[in-house]
Amino acid sequence: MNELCLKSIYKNYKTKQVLDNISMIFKPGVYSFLGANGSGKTTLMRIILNLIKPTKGAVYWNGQPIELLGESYRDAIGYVPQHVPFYPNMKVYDFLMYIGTLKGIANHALKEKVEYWLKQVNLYDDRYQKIKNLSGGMKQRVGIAQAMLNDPQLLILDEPTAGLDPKERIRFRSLIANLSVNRIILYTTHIASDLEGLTDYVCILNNGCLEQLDEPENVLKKLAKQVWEVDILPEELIYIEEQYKVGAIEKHGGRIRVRLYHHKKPLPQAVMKEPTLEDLYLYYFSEGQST
Amino acid sequence: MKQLIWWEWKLLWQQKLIYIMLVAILSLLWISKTYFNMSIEELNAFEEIQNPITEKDIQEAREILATKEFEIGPEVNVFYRIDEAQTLMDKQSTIINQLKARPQTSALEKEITMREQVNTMYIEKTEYPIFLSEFLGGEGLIAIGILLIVGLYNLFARDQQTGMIQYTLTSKFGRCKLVQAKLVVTLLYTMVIYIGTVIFSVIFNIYRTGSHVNYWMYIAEGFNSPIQFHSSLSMSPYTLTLFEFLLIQLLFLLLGSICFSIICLSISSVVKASFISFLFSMAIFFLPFLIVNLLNLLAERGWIAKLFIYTIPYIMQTKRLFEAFYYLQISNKVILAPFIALGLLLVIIISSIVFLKIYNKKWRYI
Ligand SMILES: Nc1ncnc2c1ncn2[C@@H]1O[C@H](COP(=O)(O)OP(=O)(O)OP(=O)(O)O)[C@@H](O)[C@H]1O
Ligand SMILES: [Mg+2]
Repeated sequence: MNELCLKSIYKNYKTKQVLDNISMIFKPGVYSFLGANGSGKTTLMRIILNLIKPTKGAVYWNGQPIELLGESYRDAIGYVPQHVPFYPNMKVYDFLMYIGTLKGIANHALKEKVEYWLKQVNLYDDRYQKIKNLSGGMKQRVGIAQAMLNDPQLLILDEPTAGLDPKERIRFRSLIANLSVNRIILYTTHIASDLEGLTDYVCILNNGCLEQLDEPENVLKKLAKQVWEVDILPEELIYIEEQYKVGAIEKHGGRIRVRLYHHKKPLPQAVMKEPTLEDLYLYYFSEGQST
Repeated sequence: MKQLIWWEWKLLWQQKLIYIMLVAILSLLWISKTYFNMSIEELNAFEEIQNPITEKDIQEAREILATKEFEIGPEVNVFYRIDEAQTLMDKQSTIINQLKARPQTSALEKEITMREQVNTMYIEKTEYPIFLSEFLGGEGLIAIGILLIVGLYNLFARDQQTGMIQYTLTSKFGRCKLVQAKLVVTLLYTMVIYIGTVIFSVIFNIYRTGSHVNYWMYIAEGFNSPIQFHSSLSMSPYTLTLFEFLLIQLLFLLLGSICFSIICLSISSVVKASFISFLFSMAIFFLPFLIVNLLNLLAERGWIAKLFIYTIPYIMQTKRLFEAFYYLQISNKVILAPFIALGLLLVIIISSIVFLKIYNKKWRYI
């Protein structure tokens, strides 16, 4: 069984600390990295991919440092960058053939794989389109297809669901679910609903620190008895926002329904709620007052 | 690996700028082309000369030139040419005498021996070989330079620019294999451009010099004439025929092209923006011409100007290496400019390849 291990990774850009002492062990399964913009997700993925060097620390694949593994490590990974890059005038089919060639797959085997993955990501009919003419979601799927060509043991997707409409997002989820057998899949997102029913582990990254790494239920359990819903008057909102971490705000008739996070009952009329993944995200990344 | 080379080859030729430049160059040539004209009688007059020419021929020619000065008949050109042969010989002996008057050094001795062997008493219609040589060192050279730059400046830089590099660095073949593939593709592309330009030059100049009736029959001639008839080489100390000189020129053009294309590739791999890579390559190729012309303008023709004959575009042009006795002295050994240039090209080629390999091994995304 494959194992990816991060040992106390630090990354600084000049004086700015982007990653702060991150240590983790990954076994086959789906890991999702949740973090606000600039929290260091892409940086961490690039370090795992050996695209950039950590300031301190090292990444090990099956016990070996990835820097020494070189080609054999690269052969085991698949990567979908955050903004899928491509040569603008290349056609989908050619693009996949080219990437497959970079991955060292011989032509006859490659043709079959490309056709297979084109069908899997539902792009077979568009295979002779230029990539620049595709929609954002379609480009994203081209990215996934190229990453899967070498049947990677470690699949890394950087914000694969950004820019997808809900229908495509659902299709993406079932695709990932299909792929997740016997593979380590790491993906980053800042969309909480992506996690629902898909991820085995949630990793919460905040300002370069790993705040949580656990199964979604356990992470949610930690939030239990901290999520409250309360109906207030509009003019009370300012006061509430100053006092508590506030999540979703909805209008309900003349009043406002606020979800807020606090370790004890904030107001007499507050009602305790079951935490959802959205609460999880807002709990960690909302800008409000923390208590 | 073959598959990767094939892909890189295809991607290289998909750059539209190559075709735009090609069309631009061809149309410029077409607009600015000049013909060489000579009447059939003149041509026949050349046929009657017995090579090598003798003192008697010269005497005769000079007398005729003196008497029939204003009567421009078909043979006058021939007599001028015969007269020129003597003038060239005289020039050489004048230089030899000047050299002998100076304190002797091993370089001086060598130059004197070389100059004593020069013999210009051989006359043919040299138009075609000289046209060809000038074209290869002029329009042809610039066309090669531009096409190489346009084809190669973006080879690595565009991976940077588009972010495709992220795939390269995370896929099995990685940067090293890609560098090898791009190097092979660069060499192939250079060969195509070089061979294409040479073939085009040969044919285009037949067309230019042969535009007049029947002249193309005489095109095979003139290759045996001494290089001193080449206007830029009249003072050359080298005993070479135009044919030998053309071969040397073709060799330098080839090696220079290879050298320059590997430099373009190296720049492209170091620089992260396509535009900067383009500028650097342009500078390496065209700046020497510019600087030398500026120096000439300033009448500053000292050792700095001499140094510039060892820049890549001037080496590719070749004629500057042969125009005078340029040399480098290492202890007792006198090394002539063409050999220095040859050594320089080989050193640059080898060190650029080594640089490409080593530099890209440690290559990171950021
Ligand atoms: N090359 C670089 N030079 C300097 N700073 C950088 C560089 N790359 C990233 N950073 C900084 O590192 C921090 C983390 O960036 P990173 O791209 O990893 O965030 P992210 O979590 O992926 O954000 P997003 O959700 O927007 O993709 C940011 O503050 C960014 O400004
Ligand atoms: Mg990112």
